[in-house]
Amino acid sequence: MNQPEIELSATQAVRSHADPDRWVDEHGDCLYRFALMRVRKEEIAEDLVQETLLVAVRTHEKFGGRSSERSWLVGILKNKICDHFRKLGRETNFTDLEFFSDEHSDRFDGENYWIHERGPSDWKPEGEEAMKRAEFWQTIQTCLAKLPDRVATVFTMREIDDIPSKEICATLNISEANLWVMLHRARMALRQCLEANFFDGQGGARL
Amino acid sequence: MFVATHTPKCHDITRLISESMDHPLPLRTRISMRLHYLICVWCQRYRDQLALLRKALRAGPSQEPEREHALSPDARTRLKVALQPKR
Repeated sequence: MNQPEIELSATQAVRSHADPDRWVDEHGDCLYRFALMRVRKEEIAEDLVQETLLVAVRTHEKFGGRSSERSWLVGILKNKICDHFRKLGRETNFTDLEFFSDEHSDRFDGENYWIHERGPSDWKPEGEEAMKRAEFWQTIQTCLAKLPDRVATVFTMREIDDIPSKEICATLNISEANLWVMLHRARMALRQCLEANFFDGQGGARL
Repeated sequence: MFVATHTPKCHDITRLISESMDHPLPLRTRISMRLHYLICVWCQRYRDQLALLRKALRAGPSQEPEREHALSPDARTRLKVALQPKR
């Protein structure tokens, strides 16, 4: 055999072999964070990353490099996360009843109108400009972390992954009415947390 | 005064604002909400602020949570071991 043919064979050999060690090094953290944000438990996130990479090893030849390696792996992970939630929905009552207690009832008067001093403050002039500041994102992360697990899961599915309501309900085996109450509470809590810890303090650290 | 007594209360408006982000509301409800905003700056703010939250969450760096979260060295090892081909 002359040189070029040997080199070609070597390259083909490399491409057709999955490289899980490298995947763990290059993509492990990203996959782990992606899962952790959505499932909220470290052990589960790690399991899902493992299952994802196992599938990747099995199906690597079909991958063919159409998209980036990372987005391919994230795609597999998304399916694994979805399977996890479907299973959770079958096995547990996913509705977070404790969170239904109205923590914000003290902001409304007896007639259910906002008490003026306790109503939403004005987030302008900063408004959307706040999104350029690191403290804004830190505050959002901290506020998200305060949400109870099941509510956080539902909220991230809807607001970050943009999954339609009906699909969330089908996956988690909950009613639309329950979903909407959970989202309402999550949004109210998040808005309040962001206001108290970012906008009202002009971004000062009061967490 | 008319508007105050003929539109939903603020507590209900906040719930409706949230629901409007997940499914379409009937026209009549949407009109009553708009009337309510005319006399209630707090519900206006609430609506704008939830919109800002949605925009931030869909667009922003929160796509990946705090960089502090990473696989521990133990976890990495566990993964690599689990992924080794069985002989």
